[in-house]
Amino acid sequence: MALASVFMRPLLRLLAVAAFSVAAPVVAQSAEATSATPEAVPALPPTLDVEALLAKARAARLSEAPAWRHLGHWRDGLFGTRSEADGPALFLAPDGANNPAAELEATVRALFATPVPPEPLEGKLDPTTMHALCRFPARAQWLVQQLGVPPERLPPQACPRFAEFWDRMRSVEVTVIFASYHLQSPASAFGHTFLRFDRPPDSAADDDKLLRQAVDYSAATDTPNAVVYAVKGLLGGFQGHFHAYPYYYRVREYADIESRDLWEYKLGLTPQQVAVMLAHIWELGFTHFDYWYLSENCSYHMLGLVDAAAAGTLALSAQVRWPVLPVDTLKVLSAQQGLIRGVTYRPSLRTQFLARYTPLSQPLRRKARLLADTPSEPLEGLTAQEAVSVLDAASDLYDLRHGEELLDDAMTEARKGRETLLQRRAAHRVPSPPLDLGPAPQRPDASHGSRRAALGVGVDHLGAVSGILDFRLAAHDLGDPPGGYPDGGELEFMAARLRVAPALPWRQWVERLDVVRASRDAAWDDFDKPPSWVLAVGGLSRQDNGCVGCLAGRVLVGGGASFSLGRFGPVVGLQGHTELLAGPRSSASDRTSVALGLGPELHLRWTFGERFSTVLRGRWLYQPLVPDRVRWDATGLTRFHLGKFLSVGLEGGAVDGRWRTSALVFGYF
Amino acid sequence: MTLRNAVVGLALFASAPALAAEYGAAGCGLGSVIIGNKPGFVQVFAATTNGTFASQTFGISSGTSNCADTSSGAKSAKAFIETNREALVKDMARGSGETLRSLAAVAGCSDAGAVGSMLQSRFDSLVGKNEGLADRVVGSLKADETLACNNLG
Repeated sequence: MALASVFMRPLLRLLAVAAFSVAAPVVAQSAEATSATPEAVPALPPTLDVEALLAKARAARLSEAPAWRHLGHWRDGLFGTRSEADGPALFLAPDGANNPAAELEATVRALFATPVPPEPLEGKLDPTTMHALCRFPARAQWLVQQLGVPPERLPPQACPRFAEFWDRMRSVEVTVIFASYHLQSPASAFGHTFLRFDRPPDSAADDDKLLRQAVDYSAATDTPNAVVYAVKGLLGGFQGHFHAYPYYYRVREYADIESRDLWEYKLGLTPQQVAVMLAHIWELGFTHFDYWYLSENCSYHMLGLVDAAAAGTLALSAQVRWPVLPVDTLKVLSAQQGLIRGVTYRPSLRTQFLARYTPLSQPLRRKARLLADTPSEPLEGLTAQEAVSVLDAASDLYDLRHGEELLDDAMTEARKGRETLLQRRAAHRVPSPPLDLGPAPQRPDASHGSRRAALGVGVDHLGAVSGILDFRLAAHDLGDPPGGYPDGGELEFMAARLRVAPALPWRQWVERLDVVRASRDAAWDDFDKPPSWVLAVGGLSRQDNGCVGCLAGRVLVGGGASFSLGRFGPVVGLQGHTELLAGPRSSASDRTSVALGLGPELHLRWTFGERFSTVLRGRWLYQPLVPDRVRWDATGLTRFHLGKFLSVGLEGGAVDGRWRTSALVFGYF
Repeated sequence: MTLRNAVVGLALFASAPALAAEYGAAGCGLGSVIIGNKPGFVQVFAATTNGTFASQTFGISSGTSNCADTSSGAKSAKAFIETNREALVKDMARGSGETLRSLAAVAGCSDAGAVGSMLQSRFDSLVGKNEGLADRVVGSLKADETLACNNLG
């Protein structure tokens, strides 16, 4: 219990000793609190002059304090002050959501109200029947401190449910977990963040991080329809809630099943601040927020929790820019001096497999692949140590291939094969040594800024010289500095390039205007055959024979496969593309307003260390609706990266023989 | 903000099918993890396999009850084994690993290495079939007094 008292003290010396009395079992067991059960309290403490406290609060303008604003999630906006919380249960005053001062007054009155019977130990809690001390422990702690109320003057209210929560969650440290980019799915491609609450290990075991509690914020989805889901998600149509799960659920889900590396950023908060954060999470458990995928999302609310914990000394959620990308919230955290105390890397199943497989000799690698295909494959002529290494690599590969099938409880073929492999492994009665992962890849928060702006000059096939303006809201393309981003992943959001040439009609200026563009170009290897794909929605100025200089909307969908030419060599890919261009004709001589193109695309990309990126693409499209039927186009770029803030590059492209080139300087911020 | 999101929303239609897979499991049992990752299912189905979802507004205060308390006791050891079955069985075959160390921590065993050797040597009799895996593993930890797993009651 010594440990418990260390971090119980900051919050509960103020609250538990007097107010939470039986709240926390840990406290109840300690000497100072044994006499503090409601029965044991001989009489109510002398009545406080609540009006005097309120006057003091008004004089100190407490309702304007950043700490108070963070606890109620109030933000000043165009239409006055409003709380981001969309459920009523975060407020005591009828207009509390819009009125921090009224809410503060209502909270002070409620905190000093007569105790009520403790809430039931089971079942759903009804916040309206709970005492404010049980409902708003973080507010209580802050207000009592600000108003200088001695803890023994608080009402002797028991809060058994908060005590239960506290006993489960009590922690001294908090770690932000970043589940890295999930390129199989455009929606998860930006990654995900949540929190893990840590305490020193309970037992002699060196590491029990898996057992700690993780808290995340997620949308409670209510539709199986993906389109409805997308629209509601973008328009704040879902309710978001905070949830607590043991960390191992998340590790199994993200690292094992989805094969996403996890990055763990330990925060430099004090145990007191961690306690306040937990108490505030409890408060938020009664309400909900509308979930906005691009703004008030999982990552945004993690920053909100850090703000609440910091009691007005930080304002991180106001610093993050729209759209809120998980990696940008990591950057906001690491920009604060001392806020990140250490970063660890938890390898996904795939990364673990590669660490076991890569050191093996070619014949042993071959054996491992054969075993993953046929678990009963004989292993003759291997030393015991070699057999262990091969079996360990093979079982990881087997899980990569059959991960989801294996979650089925039934005794399937996949499960039988796995058991054969593992039985063979267990027959070697030696423990596998800890995995040597080598140096960790570059931290995701060390990547280039999500926003990009570029200036340049260009010339086209007519000899027209243009100035080039390029801007992108987020996040990364294959030509950008590669550090911190997954290889072969591309995700752009609101990206535009204008070729400003006074000699040309303005319609020709729009080289591209992509609302969203995502692609994945992962090379096939011995054991994994991922599809490569591209998806783009936006607009451009057409350059094809069907309608030169016409503004058109564009939807592009493509899929195929890619192959690596040597470990450090280029990746070459072949895809089938379907592209739809549609827009008004700009003159009577234009032949089509709609062009549908189908055909193969060949590309090559080469990232050379951290400095050079080259991407070349060429396409042949058959266009049934256009008189010419056939369209050729090609693009190419090469960029030299002068660090993560600046790149210089040359680009060129041609459509049906109309070429244009540009030289550009890119800034990332 | 609404207008901005609306514009984006319209444009993102095309990528919609994949959006549904994001944002976490709704329930607590393995069902949420399993079904949530099967193609064609959305989390809402995962949620309905788990009774706690209806009151998930109180996911924090009710501790998402069936995954609560992992700190001690035979019950939490069994819950841990069930949820981490695949990873644990693999660690048992290897006689080492983080999942195995975590099990040793839940069970209160002092020497995770010894737990690993014991479970590895008894692998064939413990694994075999899924039903009762947790009971058999907890039983064998209890039975081996040299391991001194003192958290299994």
